[in-house]
Amino acid sequence: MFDAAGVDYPTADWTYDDLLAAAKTLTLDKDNDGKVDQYGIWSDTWDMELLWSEAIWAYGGEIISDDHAKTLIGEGGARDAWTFIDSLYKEGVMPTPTTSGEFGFDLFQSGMAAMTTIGHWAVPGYVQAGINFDVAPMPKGPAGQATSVNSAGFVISKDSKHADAAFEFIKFALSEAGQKRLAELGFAIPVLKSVAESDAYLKQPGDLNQQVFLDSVAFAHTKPVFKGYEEWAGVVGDGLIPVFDGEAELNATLDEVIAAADEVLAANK
Amino acid sequence: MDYGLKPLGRERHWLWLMLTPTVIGLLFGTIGSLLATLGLSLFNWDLINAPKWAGAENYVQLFENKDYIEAFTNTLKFSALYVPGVVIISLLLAVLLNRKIRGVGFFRTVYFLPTVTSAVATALVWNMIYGKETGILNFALESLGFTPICWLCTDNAMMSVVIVNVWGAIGEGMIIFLAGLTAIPRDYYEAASLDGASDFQQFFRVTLPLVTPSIFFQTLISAINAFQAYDYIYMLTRRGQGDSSVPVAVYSIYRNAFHFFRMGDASAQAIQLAILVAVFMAVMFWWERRYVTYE
Repeated sequence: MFDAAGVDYPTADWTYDDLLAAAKTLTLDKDNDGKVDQYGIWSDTWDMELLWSEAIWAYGGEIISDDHAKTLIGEGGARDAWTFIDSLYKEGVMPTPTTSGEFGFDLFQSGMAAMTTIGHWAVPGYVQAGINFDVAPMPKGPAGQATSVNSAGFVISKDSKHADAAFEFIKFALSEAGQKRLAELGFAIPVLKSVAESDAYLKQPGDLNQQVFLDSVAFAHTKPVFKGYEEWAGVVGDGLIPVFDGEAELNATLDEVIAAADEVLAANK
Repeated sequence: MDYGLKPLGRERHWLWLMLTPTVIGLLFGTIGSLLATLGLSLFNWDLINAPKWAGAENYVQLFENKDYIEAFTNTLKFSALYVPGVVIISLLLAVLLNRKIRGVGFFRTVYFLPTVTSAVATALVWNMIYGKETGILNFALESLGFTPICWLCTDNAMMSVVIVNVWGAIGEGMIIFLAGLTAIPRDYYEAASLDGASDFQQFFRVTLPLVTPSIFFQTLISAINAFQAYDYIYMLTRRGQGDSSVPVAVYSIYRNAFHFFRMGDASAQAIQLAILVAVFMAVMFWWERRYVTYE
């Protein structure tokens, strides 16, 4: 799609404005029926880790206060990040949430979008779907580059009857052999440096620039985890859908959503 | 020999044996779960840790939690649109299909089909019909020169969901009304037409009063269904994080119980809904005594 539209491939120096500019060129109405057949970019904005948390950090904002009592997604740079995301929808280069639902959500996988911002877990699916793609780091914002990282962990319940057996399994999963097996499954990035820098990870099917994921750790923020996350994420993520569907104004809705999100935080103290 | 309906002394244990499946179902399924819900509503329980006594706290929450108040209001709005919609449309449909027209069996079957089809499957089809870009409804609108509508966006979601739910329910209502209509003796219409009553007058003066038992029954059933509406709403309005653009009471109960693991809050909401249904039924039965005509 990039070659067909004559757009240069994304580089590590891209800014969010470059992303928007490229997305504009890549958005096409091929049969001139007034409807977009190819979007410049597709991403989900109901969950923070696909696009909006990265954008907020890159624009110099924060998600939540350290004591998890205050939602900060409306302050300072964060608002600029939202304005940017809203512009992706307003410019028509990214399908609205309702439209993307109509096409089964992942428009990148279905070949209807030229770019996406998504986590490493999507890689095996895309490779299997036979998409010709590669990866680039998240773009830079006014406050630098940022991406989101979180761990796919194993947990032992404190009341487990088989805690010892579970512990043995976790020891295996974290060993070099276990991490190699997990790397081969392809969903996550190995936590052991020795495995991450070995062929088991770097030479996965798809022939992608897997090194990008390792280098991105340098500017990665951890996805916030706190009590009441599920409900908070619903209030924020789903609460902004009317804005992105073009039914509500960004700033007023953001204020409402933040107030409601803070109430959730207070109730989950 | 005694052919009466009372069981003989020796047969009495058979009576109870035969009734056991129903009684067990009622005890454990209906009454049991109602009592369990009532009990749970007094505790805070997350399914993992031991339940903690909450007293009336979960009931106070019913009047303070904005999300629940919104869901409850949505249920009332939904019912106010849905119940008259189902009753009026299925009555009119039954009147139309109560005539001697060609292929009446075919039409009756077609209108009844949604009742016997899985709501999840038909909701998927409705999703396609309502699609903003690819839906046939918008295709039709555009062909006629109208601007396409985002049927499932937040502003229109309530209306779209009511349409689907009404569509899904008129088949059942039609059967109830057809049964009521066929019970009306033909001579009443003959007498009315001899007296010079028009079709219109016949409908309002003969048909309508005589189907009041069916109207009563259908209103009651529709209202109960309206308060419990969930399947189409879940399928059509669910958002990425599990919220809905038209959250109704049952949606809120489900979400509190199985997303947020607040069994106490969910149970209190369920009890409130049950009380609402009970009060509505009481009003309906009072109304029945005053207005319903039984021959």
